[in-house]
Amino acid sequence: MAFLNLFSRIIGKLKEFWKVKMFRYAILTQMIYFTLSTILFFLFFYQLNDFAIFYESGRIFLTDIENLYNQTNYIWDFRYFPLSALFFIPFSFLNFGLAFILFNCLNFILNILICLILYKIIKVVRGQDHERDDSRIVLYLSIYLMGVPHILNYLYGQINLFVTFFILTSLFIFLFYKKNSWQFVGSVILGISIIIKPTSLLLIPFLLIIHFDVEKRKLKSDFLKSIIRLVGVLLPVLSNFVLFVAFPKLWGDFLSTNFTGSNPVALNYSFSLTKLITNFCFLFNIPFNQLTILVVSVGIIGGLGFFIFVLRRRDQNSILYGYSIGILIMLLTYYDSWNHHLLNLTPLIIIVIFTLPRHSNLLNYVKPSLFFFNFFDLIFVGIWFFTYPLFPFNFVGTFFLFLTFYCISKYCIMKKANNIKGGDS
Amino acid sequence: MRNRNLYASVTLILIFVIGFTSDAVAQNYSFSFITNEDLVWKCEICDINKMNNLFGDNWSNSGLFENLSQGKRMKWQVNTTKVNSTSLSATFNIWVWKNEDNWGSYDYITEFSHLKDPSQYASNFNLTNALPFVPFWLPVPVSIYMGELKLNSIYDFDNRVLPTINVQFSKGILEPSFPSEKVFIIAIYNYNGILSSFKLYTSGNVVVIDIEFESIPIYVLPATLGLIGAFFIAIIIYVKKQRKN
Repeated sequence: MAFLNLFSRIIGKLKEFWKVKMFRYAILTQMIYFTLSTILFFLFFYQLNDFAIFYESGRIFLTDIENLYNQTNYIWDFRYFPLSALFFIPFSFLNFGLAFILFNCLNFILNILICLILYKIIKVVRGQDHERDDSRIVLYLSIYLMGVPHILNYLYGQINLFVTFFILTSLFIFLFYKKNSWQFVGSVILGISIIIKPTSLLLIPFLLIIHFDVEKRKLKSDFLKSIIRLVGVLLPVLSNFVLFVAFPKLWGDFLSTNFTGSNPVALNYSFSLTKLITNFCFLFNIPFNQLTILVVSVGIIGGLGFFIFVLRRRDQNSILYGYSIGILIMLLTYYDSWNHHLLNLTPLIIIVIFTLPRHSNLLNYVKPSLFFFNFFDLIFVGIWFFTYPLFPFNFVGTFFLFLTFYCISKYCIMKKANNIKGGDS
Repeated sequence: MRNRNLYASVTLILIFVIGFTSDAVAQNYSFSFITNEDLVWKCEICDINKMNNLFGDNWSNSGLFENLSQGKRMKWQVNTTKVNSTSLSATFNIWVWKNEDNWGSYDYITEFSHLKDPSQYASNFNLTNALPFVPFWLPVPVSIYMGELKLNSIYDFDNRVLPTINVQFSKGILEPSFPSEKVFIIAIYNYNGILSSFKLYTSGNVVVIDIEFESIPIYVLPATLGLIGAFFIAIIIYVKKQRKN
């Protein structure tokens, strides 16, 4: 009964959105992306896509789990946690082409659900000086749906939308339900997103409820809630270690694939800072250790992000800023940050836009970044192919990641928002 | 309404039919080069002492690394190309590594061939009997050809972004004492299937040999300058506009 009620409320809300012309265009754009990627998949990318890896991982998990990270089984490396393969087992029983279409249908439905969660969150967290009607929210939902990163997400059969869905669901729970039991549920959901794809791994430190009040020079923390959240998020992640213990070969292969193998050295158009550095070393034959570069990058950028989070001057919606900073750190520091990974970031940026003062100067940084990620980043991937023999750096995306990082950090640590044109919200 | 349902059904059926049959579509591979075309590579780095240490003193006595040292160039000229039912083969006039700009007469005529169906290579097949352990050319479309190859597990093919072969030799895998330590190779191919970058390195990514294909496409320099220039101009214009507001 409750499910039916929820379903009818969802349909009702979608009908409301449908009345907005821009939203209709956005759905049409999604349909075009879906159809285009399906056609391209069958014509050119039938075995050359990420879904082929997920599909195979589901089969190997059932039949030969010790060889889950034996990369000769895949066209490209399988790099995720072993339990992520569980998720693909149902698809591996189907014909590959049919499984791809069903998987992307699920991606489409997830996009609708992401929009609904975004709507719910924005309705509550948006600043007092923002428009009271929903038209601007629906406009931004439409912008999200029209995002170019969806093309590659559909075409490759990628799993970013599952990660985004779980991130937003956990954010929703943390923002709206304060009971300890809900804190546990929210963090378990975040843990599931990490199992599916470790993009959200660096969100874990931001679950800690810790705040240093600079004026009073006092460290405040909610120890119990922090522990509950940590246990909740680590429970699904650490459950992978049951498999690592049972099959020790898996652990060695997992480490080699993700951190020390040839994959992190390879030249590609990732816009992460780490990749820009390794590409530089590769181009100029400078000896380097990819793991050291990763650790130093995470240490510096991650440390800075966490420091800013702890020193923040506003407590309201702090988990939102923590999540945003966490994803930004991940995209800046992991080797491979590609266009379709931006689907984890853009929904968070949209929420941040609604929490900033309506006419804040900071919007001059964050809005161009959103539009760059949503519409233009893919162009620079294309340009990379023209410049890579001489200049293998897809640096424009990195620039906008830093710009967003700067904007959110500045908002978090500014003394009073009267320094920001438009006042606090 | 009935028509719309009919169209939708037909589209879905078509998608599923393609889905069930597309495994059967065969790929035709071909050459990207033409007769008399010159292919020139330059050796940017060659640590001879390290190579002697890794592979013994004879590594540069024969094969494609004959006479290799830093700053030298090697030229291949396409002589003939041949396709039969099972393989693609090409004969090249080869000038081995030299410093002089004047190439003179070629040193060898050599034929290289690849199976037309890359999946027909035996799963334990490898190219480890002679340096450089990777081919200097592959049939096109190179990404798809590479994707079909299933060689020995020391080879890892990555055709996701740039067609790349990663090779990893553990100590003593070739002969009891060679290589004397772990060695890695990254071979990147251009979309014409020609080896565009070859790096042989040891742990810590210390490059021992770096060979680059000499001809960079004509658009690379203007594209690079255009990208950097456009980025800075856009930033300046944006900052000026914001200051005005």
